[in-house]
Amino acid sequence: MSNGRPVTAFFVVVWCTVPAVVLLMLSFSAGWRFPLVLPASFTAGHWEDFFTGNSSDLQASCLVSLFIAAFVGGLATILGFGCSRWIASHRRKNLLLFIAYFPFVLSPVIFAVCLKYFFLRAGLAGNLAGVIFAQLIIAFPYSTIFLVSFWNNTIRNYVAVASTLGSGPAYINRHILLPAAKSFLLTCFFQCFMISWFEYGLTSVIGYGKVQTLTIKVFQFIGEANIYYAALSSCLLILPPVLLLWFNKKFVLQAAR
Amino acid sequence: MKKWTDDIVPRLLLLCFAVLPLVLGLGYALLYSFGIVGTLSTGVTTLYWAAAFRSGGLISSFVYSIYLSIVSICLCSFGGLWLACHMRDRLRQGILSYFIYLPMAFPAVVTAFFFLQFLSNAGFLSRVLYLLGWVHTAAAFPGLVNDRHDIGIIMAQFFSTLPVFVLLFLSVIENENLRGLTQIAQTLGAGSRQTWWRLTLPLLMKKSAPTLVLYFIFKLGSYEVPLLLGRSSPETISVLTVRKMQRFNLLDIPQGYAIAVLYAMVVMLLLIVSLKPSKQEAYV
Amino acid sequence: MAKISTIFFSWWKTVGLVVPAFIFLSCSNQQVTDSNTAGMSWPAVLAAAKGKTVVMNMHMGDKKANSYMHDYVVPALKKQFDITLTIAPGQGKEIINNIMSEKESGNRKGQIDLCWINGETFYQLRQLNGLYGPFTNQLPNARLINFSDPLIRYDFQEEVNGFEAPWGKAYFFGVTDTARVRKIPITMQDFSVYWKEHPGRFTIPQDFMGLTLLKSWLIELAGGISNLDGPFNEERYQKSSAQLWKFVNDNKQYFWKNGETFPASGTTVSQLFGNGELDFTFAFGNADADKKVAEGIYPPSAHLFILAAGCTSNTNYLGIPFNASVKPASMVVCNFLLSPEAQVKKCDVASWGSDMVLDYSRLDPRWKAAYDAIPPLRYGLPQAEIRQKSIKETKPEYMIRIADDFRKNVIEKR
Repeated sequence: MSNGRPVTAFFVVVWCTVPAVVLLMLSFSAGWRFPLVLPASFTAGHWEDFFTGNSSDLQASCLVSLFIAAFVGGLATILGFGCSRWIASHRRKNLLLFIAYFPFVLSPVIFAVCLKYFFLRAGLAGNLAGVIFAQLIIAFPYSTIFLVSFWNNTIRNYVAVASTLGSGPAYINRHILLPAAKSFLLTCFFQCFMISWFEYGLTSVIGYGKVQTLTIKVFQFIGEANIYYAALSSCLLILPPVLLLWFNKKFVLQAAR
Repeated sequence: MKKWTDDIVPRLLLLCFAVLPLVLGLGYALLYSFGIVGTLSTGVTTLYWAAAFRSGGLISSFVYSIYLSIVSICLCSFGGLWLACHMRDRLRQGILSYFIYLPMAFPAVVTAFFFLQFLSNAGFLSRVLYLLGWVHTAAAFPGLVNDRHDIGIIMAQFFSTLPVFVLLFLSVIENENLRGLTQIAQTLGAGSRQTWWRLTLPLLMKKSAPTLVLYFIFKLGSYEVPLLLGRSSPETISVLTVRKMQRFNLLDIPQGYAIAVLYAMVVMLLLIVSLKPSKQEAYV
Repeated sequence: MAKISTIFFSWWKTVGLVVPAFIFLSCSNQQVTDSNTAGMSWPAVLAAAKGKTVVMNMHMGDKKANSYMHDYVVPALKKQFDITLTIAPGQGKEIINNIMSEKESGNRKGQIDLCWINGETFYQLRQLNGLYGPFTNQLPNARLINFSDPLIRYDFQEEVNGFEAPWGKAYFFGVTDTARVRKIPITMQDFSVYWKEHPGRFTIPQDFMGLTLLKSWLIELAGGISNLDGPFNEERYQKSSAQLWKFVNDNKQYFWKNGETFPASGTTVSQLFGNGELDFTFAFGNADADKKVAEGIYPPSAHLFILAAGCTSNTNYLGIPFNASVKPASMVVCNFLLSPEAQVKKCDVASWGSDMVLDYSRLDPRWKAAYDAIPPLRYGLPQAEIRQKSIKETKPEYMIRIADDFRKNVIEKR
């Protein structure tokens, strides 16, 4: 009963894969005019443009996106780990978590228009530092919330046992907490990486269109009706998450909204 | 041994990345909407709030956003529940266990772009139907994006959120040892229908309620998908707010801030409702 | 392992202190470069511009225009003047909103150094004191421009006064497909007949393209441009616009998607026209059909036509925000964009296909020859016809009101 029919499974697979296949096809297409289902001709030209750096700075956008995402992911994980430990043992844990949830659930674009004034004042609009800071406002609370669940009773008991047996804090950190937290931290990093990689609202408002991440580029290509480049940049955007999914499902599963 | 930084740093971080942005952002929006700050400021006035409510765009936008979110969440719940209960083993291993999560690799803007290319009158689906001889012109295809029934938005939301819900229900089933409980219930003589309605469903719903509300809030604020796939009126809250901020008529800007404040209050209420009573964290 | 452990258990507090400190420092440490150029000689401007980065906001709805900027202007500026030009999408309302936010936050180091504007955007920016100037008289290439030409001197009937430099001329046309549309509608009456016979084949974009169409109809209803000429006249606007909204609302059931939604941009409408979903689209520029047929977007049977109200003609300009941080470099970019080289290239359909703003008679023989060598348009209308039917823009208030009222009276009305 819990296995379903193969036919149903087949349809689920089709539903989930068609978008990726169509986008990939479009990125290799030229002359996709109505009513052609397949394009008039297939071409590797758009991808060649990308790899030879000929395509409206897509390469640069790719690097900018990767850099921001890696930076935000790393910073959010490092800061969130320490902060979550503090919150987990705080007597007003629930209130603190509630506060952390709020920036994380607000619509990024609405949040951004409200914050734009302060980013301008601080000289943090339209530059990389500003975008990273803005994305941390979402990613840091997320990582804190996520990592709070690591500091459960089992972990606390391990620490208590170890210190009763005479282990110093450094030893506990290195030989008990870190090995136990490793997979949590890695997951948290990749999730924050993805939050940043997927971000559009905050980046477009705070980045002023000057910090051109891949999501910004997709919008730009849609705006100029350049569907082939839009499809290509879409493929670039879904590639890292797909790889992560293949590599370890856990890294991706909790990041998507 | 406690260092002075032990308490200071986490507090500073929470202040810097969570509390301060919130207080400043919403505070500024509030002041702006009452005409206290900003280029157009002429002293305290409730004019902009009144105008925002009067123009009609505000109420219909909230109703519309709530409607869209409820429909998306319901569809995803049904779909997720059905898949989690009927295909549990397939979802745990084999190719389905990979492909079902593929939509999670799609940022909202890519999902929106795909559905635009897929469902529009001259889109992929329409072309396939043309090939099959079912439609003869692009105009004959029933418009599924920017459409009256919001099919484009709902399908895009369903596509991107279904895997999250499958995952949610799978993990609830696992954590709550549903299989064991079901067996006990059936040993005690409960029929399968009775077990489902009296045990499985209520338990699943109760455990996943906070997450459902959380995703409701996410959907409420979604921007890229309704921007590309929605109609010009009504608009969702995010789309309306941004549009109000960017008008030639500068008097619309304070209205935009008023809408932002209202939205933040709704979100806060929902968050209190979802997080407080259960005293437990949602499955984020 | 030991390293990682240090990061997570010892360093995180340092990082946690450094990051907020960095933000705090960046707040208090905003260096402002005063880059006023008044009275500077051109060589001094060139010297001050060297090595700078200029950020330009432009409407990016035209693939060709984008590649003209990206593939030709950007490398040329780098090579000739050592200026890095970054293009960021942004037009009209977005530019106004950005400059206004910067004014409100007291930001003296502006984010944008150059923007592509005209009409209502120029008007609003001037109202906000958001533009730097006058600067055009300092540009060497300004001598090639005939500033006494009313089409250049006045932007939507507002005197430019050196606060924006003309960049291109544009004419408003309807575009249709003669293979599908036998008798091309010109008047509003013709259109309403056509719509009833061919429902679902027409729509109005919400951007400047659609607003210009609505304005053309407003002029037609008012009985010609002469009745809407001069300062904004509330009474006349009320009278004609009431008729306009009634006309649109009475007919919108015959529009694309029953008039329940209107596409956000003219670019989308052109795409829908190309796909065969619509029978009409609109264009600013005589080269539009040549360009889009070559790109394969329009069918070869595409055709330009002029609406009954006349051929709305305007000029688009380059403005420098009041707080642009590298004003000399912005001016060098402006001057380059006004050079015969850049302007003649811009005219060529192969690169952009936009009308030149320079005065032909003032060009060197060399550039006259280059201009004459540009292949003639296949789809463009004869210059004489355009000149004869050309009408000027109304005051910007009309555009602003139409934008507001179109939403209020048509889009939001069920």
